[in-house]
Amino acid sequence: MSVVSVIDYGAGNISSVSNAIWYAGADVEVISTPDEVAKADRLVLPGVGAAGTAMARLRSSGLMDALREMVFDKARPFLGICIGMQVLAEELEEYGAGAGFGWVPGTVQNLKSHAAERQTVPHIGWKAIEVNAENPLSNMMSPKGVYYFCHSFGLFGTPLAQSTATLDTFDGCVAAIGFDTVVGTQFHPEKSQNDGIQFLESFLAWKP
Amino acid sequence: MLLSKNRLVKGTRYAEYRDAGSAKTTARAYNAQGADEIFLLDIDASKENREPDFETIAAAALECFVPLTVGGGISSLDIADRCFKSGADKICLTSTARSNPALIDGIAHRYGSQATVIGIDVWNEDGTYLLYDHLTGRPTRDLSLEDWLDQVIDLGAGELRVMDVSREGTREGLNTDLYDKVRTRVSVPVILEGGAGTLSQVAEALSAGVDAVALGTLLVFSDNNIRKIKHYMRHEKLPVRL
Repeated sequence: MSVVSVIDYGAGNISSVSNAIWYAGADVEVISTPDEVAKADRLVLPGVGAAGTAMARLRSSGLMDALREMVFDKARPFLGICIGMQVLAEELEEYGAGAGFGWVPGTVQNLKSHAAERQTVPHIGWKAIEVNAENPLSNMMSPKGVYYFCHSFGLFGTPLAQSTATLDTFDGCVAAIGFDTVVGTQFHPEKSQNDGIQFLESFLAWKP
Repeated sequence: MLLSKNRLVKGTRYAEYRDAGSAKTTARAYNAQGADEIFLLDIDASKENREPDFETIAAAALECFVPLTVGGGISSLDIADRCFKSGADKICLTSTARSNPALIDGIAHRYGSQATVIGIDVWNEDGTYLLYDHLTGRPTRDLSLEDWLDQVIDLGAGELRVMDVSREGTREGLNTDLYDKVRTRVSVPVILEGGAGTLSQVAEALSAGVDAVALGTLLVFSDNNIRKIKHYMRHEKLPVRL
């Protein structure tokens, strides 16, 4: 099995993600420079916290451009988790940040403007998801799976061609995306116990 | 999981502690039994004015494929940083939030509100809910529960762990009245803790609309385990993840 490169840009739960990928059966290396990204076979971009801060670091370090080249020119499998998925969007609102990577159509918005009455924000807890079977990359998740979410912002307005799962709350906030060699999850597979490990196993076995 | 000098302990009303095993093996067991979240609290760190036990946090984190919330002795952004690097997914501030409310804002800005949990320890004095002060071991009237809730939410708290200290370890049942009081004042998730001694008490709390409960005594000093507890809740038609 290939080595999975987990990107450390100072805004991720690197040890949890590395530990879960190792548990799912792969060797893990933690990398932090564009040069290291350029040598990677399989990339994981974790992320917790503020998308604006994450975005600034990814842009100024040159990691964003290095990732774009590896994914779109060299077709390397890529997984973005939570903030690591949100930064791929065209637009971000968190902390007044501007545009994201622009890899996926949609806008990252505050969940407060999508919450029903008595619905708490941040959205924290174990949730079932609505899998979009039309998108073949949705098969990395189980329709019966329950995954751990922990977020204040969410991705909205992503077409079915790129979205693999949504929530049945928060106006159908995107739960996972998939297109080309890119997958991303709003939930935390590294913290979703057996269902999360199974998702990571599918990602490790994926040969796009 | 209450951590004291490298060992887990459990007591009554934050006193009379008894040994409750090792953090690493207990985290492994709780993970295997299907815990939805593991909460590791270093109960001496703030009192002894020292840093939390990072080594034990890291050892427990390697066993957790569920969220791990860490609390106790987190008195600066730098210490919070080291907790996250040790494998914490969320940080819980209780007394350090009281002594330095700006820290709530600092952590929420760097890691996001969703990673910023505030512990609200309450003492029930004849029906009046007072904030409980760990450093003195007594309730305080310096600040009301309501004002403190408003303050922590304003500073960026993303989740509350509300503990009725007067019930902690007593098996009297969870205080759903306290939960309702807090839940109607805030719009963030609330975890209720303190007093769960039987499965029916947990079921009653969940039926009464409590979103999440934290269990200690019920797991440590009884023949229950998380799997058994969850099957009981499922049998009672309550929403749990099996």
